[in-house]
Amino acid sequence: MKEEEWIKRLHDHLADFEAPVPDDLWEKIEARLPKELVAEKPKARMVPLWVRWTAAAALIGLLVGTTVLLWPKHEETPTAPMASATKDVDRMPIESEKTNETEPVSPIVARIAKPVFAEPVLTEPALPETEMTKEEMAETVPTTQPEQPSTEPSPAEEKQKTEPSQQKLIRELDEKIADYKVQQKRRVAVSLYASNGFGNQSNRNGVLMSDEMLAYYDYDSRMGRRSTRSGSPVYLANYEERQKYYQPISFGLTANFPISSRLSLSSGVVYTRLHADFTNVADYLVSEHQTTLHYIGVPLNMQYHVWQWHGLNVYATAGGQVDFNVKARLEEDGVEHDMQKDRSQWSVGGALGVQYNIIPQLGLYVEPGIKYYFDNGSNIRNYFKYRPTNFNLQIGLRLQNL
Amino acid sequence: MQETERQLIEAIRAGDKGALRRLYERFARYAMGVTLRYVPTRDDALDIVQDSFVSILTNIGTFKYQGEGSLRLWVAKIVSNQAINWIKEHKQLSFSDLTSDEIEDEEEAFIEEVPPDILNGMIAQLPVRYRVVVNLRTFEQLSHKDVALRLAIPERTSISLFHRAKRKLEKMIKEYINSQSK
Repeated sequence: MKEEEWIKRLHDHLADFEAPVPDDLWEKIEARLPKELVAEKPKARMVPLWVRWTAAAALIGLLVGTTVLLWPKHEETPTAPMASATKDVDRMPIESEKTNETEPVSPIVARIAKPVFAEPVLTEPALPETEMTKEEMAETVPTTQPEQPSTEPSPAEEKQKTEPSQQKLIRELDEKIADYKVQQKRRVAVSLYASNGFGNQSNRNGVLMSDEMLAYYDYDSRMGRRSTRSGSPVYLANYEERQKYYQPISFGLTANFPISSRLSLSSGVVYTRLHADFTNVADYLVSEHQTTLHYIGVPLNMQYHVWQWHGLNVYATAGGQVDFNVKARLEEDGVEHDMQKDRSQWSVGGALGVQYNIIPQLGLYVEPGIKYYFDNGSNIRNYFKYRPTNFNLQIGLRLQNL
Repeated sequence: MQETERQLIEAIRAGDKGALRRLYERFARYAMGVTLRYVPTRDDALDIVQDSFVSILTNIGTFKYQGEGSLRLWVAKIVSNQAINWIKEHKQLSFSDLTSDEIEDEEEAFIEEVPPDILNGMIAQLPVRYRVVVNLRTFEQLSHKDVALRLAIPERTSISLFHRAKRKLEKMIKEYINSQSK
């Protein structure tokens, strides 16, 4: 008797089988039900986990971005090079010359410039925009310069005396600022991103008889086939499987560690969610279930900076990732329970990235890329196995110069 | 006339307290029958049915009505899952040793000649791993792939267990029929 026929007969014979239960069973069940259950209306639609993760990631990004944007500039300047430069200039003799210029200056400019310069020094190149220029420095001096006692040398003598030391100081300052800029470029950057694959995958196919079933039914000799291996596949009658694999969704937090001016290494933590719907259709019954797999992954990528223009940065990245299945849930008609976890999943990939720096500390980047997922040998059916080569798009915020 | 499953669900969702009990009364004996196919001990089976109905009535808001009969199927699935979890918790389910239990092929058995309560009891008397696979494959209508996924075993193990269970059950049926004809 064929397996399907035997199953149907057994199923039908016991389909309506009932066994008695004790009278007090309901009271025991009722006592364990939540009090509000009777009055409770149907539950509000649950917000899916991935939506909650997206919202959380967006909120974190927003908070971090806002913090960076609103962080007062004067809090950033006392980093080592600038602070030491300020200390150096603090030790310089104070200029007594007065001018009539009264342009307002910001506190930070005043703080650095105040003790240093007596007059504009126009022979030196301008400093970068983000730093105070020498002209600005010079212009600010008169407004903040205190008057000196009359016993001091005349302004002309003092100017002659201090000029070489001022130029020396400016050169030192320039060097330190240049060093500071280089160090800024080589500092660790932190990225917060969301990523997904392209498109859901649906599949609909018949159910093949396995080799064991073919052997059990002695199918080859009955049907006159020479060999199961060489013959065409044998499908089970009135059986069909439908699968729908939803695109993977990932959220990551990574840090970039510079190796040279163009190369950097990045690693961190990535959460990935895979969801799939499965429907099995027999001639007299439809069975549906959904699987949701949660992975935590560790990527390791090498990043090469190809081109930079103003706030725009183009780079290429390549590397690998290992994902560990930390949670696996199977849902059948609204009821969830644990299922077998997937094995660790290895993948390699590459991407081309474009980053635009909204401000020096914060960049927005887009990375279209491709990934290949190695077969990990497990019997868990998921997007990685159905489509091992996967195009994806990663969008994120990168905090830099931290 | 008995209310339909749709009417029953709508009554529960409308806050009709009596509808919860009506659902229980409608499916409790059926749930007990399903459970006894997994766990033959009556007291253990009653615990499983009790846990199942707490889960069913608490999660009734998530049930998706898909036509008459879908509520009954949903109840059976929850009961089945609860029974398998109970078996796992009591460490009765092992798939490590499949070398024993060689059973000879039996001639075609006449399933319909065995009363349902006897046949149900026969399934419950199968070794636990056979019993679970037969239940999932026959009454849950899962493919071998899905049985394998559900029990975390290779697909070929599911196929092998099912066929051994089938042969063993056929043997039991034959013995029963022979004993009745004497």
